[in-house]
Amino acid sequence: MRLVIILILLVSTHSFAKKKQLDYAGLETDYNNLIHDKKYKGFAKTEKQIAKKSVEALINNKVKRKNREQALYQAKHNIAFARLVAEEQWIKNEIKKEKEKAQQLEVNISKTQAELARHDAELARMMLIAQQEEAQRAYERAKQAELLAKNSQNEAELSKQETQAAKAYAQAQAEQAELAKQEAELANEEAQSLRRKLNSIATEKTDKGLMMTLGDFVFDSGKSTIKQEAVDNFSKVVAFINTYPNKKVRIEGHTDSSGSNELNLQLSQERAEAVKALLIKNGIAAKNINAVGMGEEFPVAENTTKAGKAKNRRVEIIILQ
Amino acid sequence: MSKTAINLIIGTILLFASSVQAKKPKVDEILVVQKLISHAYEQGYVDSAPIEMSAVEKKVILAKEAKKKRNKKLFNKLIREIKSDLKIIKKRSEVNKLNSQLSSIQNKNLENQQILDELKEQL
Repeated sequence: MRLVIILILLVSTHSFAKKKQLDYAGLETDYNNLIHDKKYKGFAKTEKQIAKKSVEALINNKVKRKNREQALYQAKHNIAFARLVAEEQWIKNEIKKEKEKAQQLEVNISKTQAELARHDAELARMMLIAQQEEAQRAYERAKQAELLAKNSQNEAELSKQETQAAKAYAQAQAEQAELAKQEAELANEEAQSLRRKLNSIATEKTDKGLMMTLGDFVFDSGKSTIKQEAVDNFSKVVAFINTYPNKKVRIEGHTDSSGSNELNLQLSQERAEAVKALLIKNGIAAKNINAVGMGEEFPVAENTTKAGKAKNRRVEIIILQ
Repeated sequence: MSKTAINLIIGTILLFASSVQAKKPKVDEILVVQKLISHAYEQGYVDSAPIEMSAVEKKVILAKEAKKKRNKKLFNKLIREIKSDLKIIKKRSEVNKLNSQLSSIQNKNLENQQILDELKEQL
């Protein structure tokens, strides 16, 4: 019986010691897990120290037997509390980091928004410039079109004016041609008339000799120049003189009474000389010709009328006896 | 001063001191822990550790019984444990609140990061 009691005591003591060892091993493991957790490194230093002391006191048997249960509980509590404090500090640290990150993000968002706004503004500005350029181009095109239209109008107007001018010119030309034609006809008529007059010049017998009278129609008005038509049709006069080849010829120039005596004398002399020159040119010997200006002294008609004056303006070619 | 007089003075002082200590009011630890528990409820610590809180309340009942049975050792042990447990519960609650705060900030940062990425894509 005594042996049995001793055995029971031994077994219970052994089992109690084994339970104690298990409790301590669990405690030590919890503590080591906390200490070696990288996440909590550097956090809850004081609490970890408290936990360490309580764990070490138990493991190193520094706690009285009667207080061990309470010390074990307290050690577990210290480890749990240290873990919570470490967790708290770690979270606070994370919150600090996240807040910094949040601040940085807000700054970056603001910067990006500002950049985006600048970008949008730049885009809007570029679009505005493009629109302005397009508007300018459209304006220039419209202006060009307007100019072209105006030019076309001007050209049409010019063309119209040119047509009108050409028409007017053509008309003027036609009128001029008509005038020329009329003048030519007139000249022709005049020449015909002159020719007829020259052909119809009659000779008359005077005291001086045979005389042929050239009217002033053979001269240009107021001049001593013989008209070309008269020169061309002077054959009858030449033939008249040649009828008497060895006779002397006297050419007398006469004027009307208009103008001064001197001028009339000069004009009559020049006209007589012109006839003489023409005769010489037509083969009449110069030595036989005597040209004299008589002025207004020997009229053949009254100088009071146009017809009388016309008769007085004359050149007489006399074949002297 | 004679030796007898000195002894008398010291004796008087010690007597006075012991009387002062004796007059110190006795703290009702049950009331203290109950106030602590009420405070924990008010602060919402229970939400973070409902099982631990239930265990604490059971310990209070046991403490009351121990007090009735005049088991001072058990009573003191239970009171210490209740206070320690409440300390842990409070800390766990604080940690949980901080965790929520951290999650909230992290979520906000994720949203902001997404916003930033989208803005950068627009550039």
